[in-house]
Amino acid sequence: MRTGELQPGYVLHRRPYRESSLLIELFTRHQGRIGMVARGARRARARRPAFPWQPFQPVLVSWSGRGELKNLCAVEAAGRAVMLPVRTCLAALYVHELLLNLLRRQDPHPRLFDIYQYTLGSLRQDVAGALRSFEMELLAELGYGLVLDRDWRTGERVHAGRNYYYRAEHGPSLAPPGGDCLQVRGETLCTLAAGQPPPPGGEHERMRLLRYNLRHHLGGRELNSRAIYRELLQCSAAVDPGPGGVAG
Amino acid sequence: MSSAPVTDSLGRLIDALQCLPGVGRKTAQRISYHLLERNRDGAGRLAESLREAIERIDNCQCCRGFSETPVCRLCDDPSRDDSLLCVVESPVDIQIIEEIGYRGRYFVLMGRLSPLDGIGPEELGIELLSARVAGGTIQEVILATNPTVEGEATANFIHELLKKRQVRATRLAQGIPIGGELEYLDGNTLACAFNSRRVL
Repeated sequence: MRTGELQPGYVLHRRPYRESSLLIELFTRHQGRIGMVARGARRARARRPAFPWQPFQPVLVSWSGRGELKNLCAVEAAGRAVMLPVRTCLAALYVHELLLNLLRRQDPHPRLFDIYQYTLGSLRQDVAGALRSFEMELLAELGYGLVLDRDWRTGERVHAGRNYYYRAEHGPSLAPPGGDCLQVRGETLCTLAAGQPPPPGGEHERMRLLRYNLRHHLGGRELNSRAIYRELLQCSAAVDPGPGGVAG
Repeated sequence: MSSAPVTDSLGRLIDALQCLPGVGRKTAQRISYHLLERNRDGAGRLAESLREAIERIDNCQCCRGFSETPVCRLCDDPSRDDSLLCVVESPVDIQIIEEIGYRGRYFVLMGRLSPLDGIGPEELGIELLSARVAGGTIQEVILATNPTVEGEATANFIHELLKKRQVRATRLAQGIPIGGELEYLDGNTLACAFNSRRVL
């Protein structure tokens, strides 16, 4: 099967394949995550350098093949690659790691594609805010949207003044559900349910809640970009013991 | 599908040769028959050299490049400039940089930060690099990682690490290759070249 026209996408990851080819993971608007082989992509042709297959590079691509791994037919740059400073770059690679781990190949998510595009732009202004919004939207797009406004046991509305136990794939409850769960304030749940920014002191709680849910869907695995980010923060904290960074 | 080789040793040789980059079954078969039919001396030398290299070559304790001794020749050479440290991704980069006449010291990361491939600071020997810079003689660290997203992230990560030391961190310039033509450049490279333009 061959896609006739060029389709918009972003490079998520690429790794060398054989002597001069690349294995590329793309996030495309219409077909979702696509894995493909770009033959000879590491070889510069006469007078023309090799195509810059870099993460965050917007591309227009077409491919062929029936299997899970496609063959690249044509590629054009759809603009300049998004250049990000180191912390933002690690945060954006974290977004890529989430997409690679949670999206199945050829499962279209056009809305998530738009959100991804928006996130790349907004990471420069507010890394934490952009990441949290993306995580919320990603979970919702995958069908794991967080229950934030109802006690899953009783069906009662969540009260801002109470504390809850959050259980992945279930939601909050006043009574401890046993097993793996997370304590979270009702106030934080209410603001998140209303799509508002977290209350004072709730930023960390929002991050923990999302991290807890993502870890559940990732099978308990910690993402490498998060570990590297943490090390970077430790280095920086040794230089400038300021208010602390974002533990994205 | 190709037929089975005539002997077990030949089959193992064909399989073994496929560990070389760009060598598939067909090429491995061709090389094997060529060596056995026409160049048995060459094959013997190749086998001996491979065994010797594998047994003798390890990573230098100082720069992590390839070395037959605990500390490599470049690190052991007293005539080199101790105030300069060039950080590269791979040992092959040392050879290329040596050719342009650089006379400082090296540190080889043996990779680059790549969270999606599971490569973090530990795999790159960042602790050893940090200890080396803490030694006090280095005044400038030249970050010569590749201009890829991961190479940039690695360079910036090391830069953050160096901020607590009195060490200057520099990055190799990026732009138009000598003899290149603007028409054939990608937008990113051209933008870098514009941003790094200099007064004549």
